[in-house]
Amino acid sequence: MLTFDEIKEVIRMVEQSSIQHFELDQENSKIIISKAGVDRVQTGSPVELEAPRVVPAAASDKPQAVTDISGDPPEQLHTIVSPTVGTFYMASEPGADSFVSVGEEVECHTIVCVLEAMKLFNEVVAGVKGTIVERLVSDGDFIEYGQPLFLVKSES
Amino acid sequence: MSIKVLTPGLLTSIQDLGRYGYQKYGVIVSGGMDAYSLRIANLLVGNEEGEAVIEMTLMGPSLLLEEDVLLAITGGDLSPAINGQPVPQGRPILVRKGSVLKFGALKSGCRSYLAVRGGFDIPRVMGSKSTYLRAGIGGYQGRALLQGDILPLGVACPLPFAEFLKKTMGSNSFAFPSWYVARSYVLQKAQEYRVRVIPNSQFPLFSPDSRKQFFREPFLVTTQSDRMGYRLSGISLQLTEPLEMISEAVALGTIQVPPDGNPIVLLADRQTVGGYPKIAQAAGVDISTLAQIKPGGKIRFEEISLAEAETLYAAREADIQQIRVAIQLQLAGTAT
Repeated sequence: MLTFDEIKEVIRMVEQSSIQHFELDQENSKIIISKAGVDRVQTGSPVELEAPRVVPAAASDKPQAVTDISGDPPEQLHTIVSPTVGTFYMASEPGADSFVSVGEEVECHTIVCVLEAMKLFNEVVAGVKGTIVERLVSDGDFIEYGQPLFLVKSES
Repeated sequence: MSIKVLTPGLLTSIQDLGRYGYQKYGVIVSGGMDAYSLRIANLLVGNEEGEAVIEMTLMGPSLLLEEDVLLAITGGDLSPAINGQPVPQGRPILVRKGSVLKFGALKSGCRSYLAVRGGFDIPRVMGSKSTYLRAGIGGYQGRALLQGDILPLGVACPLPFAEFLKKTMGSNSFAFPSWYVARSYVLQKAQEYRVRVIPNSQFPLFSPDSRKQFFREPFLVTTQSDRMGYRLSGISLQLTEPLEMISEAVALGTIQVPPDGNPIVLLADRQTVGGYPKIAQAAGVDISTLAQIKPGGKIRFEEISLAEAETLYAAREADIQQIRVAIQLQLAGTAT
């Protein structure tokens, strides 16, 4: 059984994440949290994280990772999206330091993560100068093409 | 088309996957100590995986690249830099003619591998370009590289990928892609490496205590360790009763125990036969790990069965196949 405080914690975490739908089935308790149709809390404006527009990377090109968020956010939030499919890693190898962490400032060419596919690791660059606001996926997650990876507050 | 050796480093030699078929005449196999890193380095530049590469040990060389070269560095991290700028490992790197590739401080591992597109244009001796250091056979004049050596490069058709890198190079002296192959061996901060072994047929001849302690106690890689084998020190391994043996074949990774009780792990430049009792055989999949342990490092042996060793070996080969295909797609420029 989850305690009331644990449930509160789960709700808080889901609310602050990009997760749109969350289900937890544990022993006799089940929690379903759905944010469908609800605006993102942090911005308080009608901004929804739609599937970002992806600029297809040219053959063997450096990943083009920046897209705009639709709508008119009060602060300039950029989404770094995946240029490929693969497994998401925050560090270049096990035990190494993460490329970036939330709150860290990044330059256009800062490597933010690697995506592993077929044993090759593809570096993903920020593509924008700013501050990492949120990491939207976890270490070891399988990432689809175009999936949002990080939110960056850009310096414009 | 050549590479000039400005400074040779500690022990830098030409190695491929080894000289097989001549052990019956007493000619050792040699070849790269960390065959996995050697194969990956070749694949990264579009070579056959068994092409000759430069193997460097603990302290690397300084090399003048006299032509535009597509190269790849794998294995231990010897802080490679081109014209003073650090370059990453595990990727193809196109380097402009006249650049100096210099290796510096050892950051991890023990041995680093440098493959160049087209390989080295040196003669094969008994089917291999590997340097047999003790006999002075093969490689570059049968010896480790020295200052002033000029290594001729083989000819290979240009890769579309190299053309692509050239366009991204601009005024820099080198260019590399955003993808890479991860290191082969696990970084161990604890300074203790796990090496999986299969007990040998002579394992039961060791005392019950020695048999237990072999898997329980760590062993230190002593400074009397080289390409031939690693002399370990730790607990003294003893036989239940003295054994008179006729020398018999030894293999890559065989762990033999001389009368002083300190085991020796036989590696690339191992002799062809051995007369010491053999306690265990290192699994093929962990030979590359062994090759990257420098003197002073610690090993802990873990027992596995022959079947498990074979499964691990097959899985490693499947991984390499996957890496080969993935790299080929990248080099042909068909992947995005």
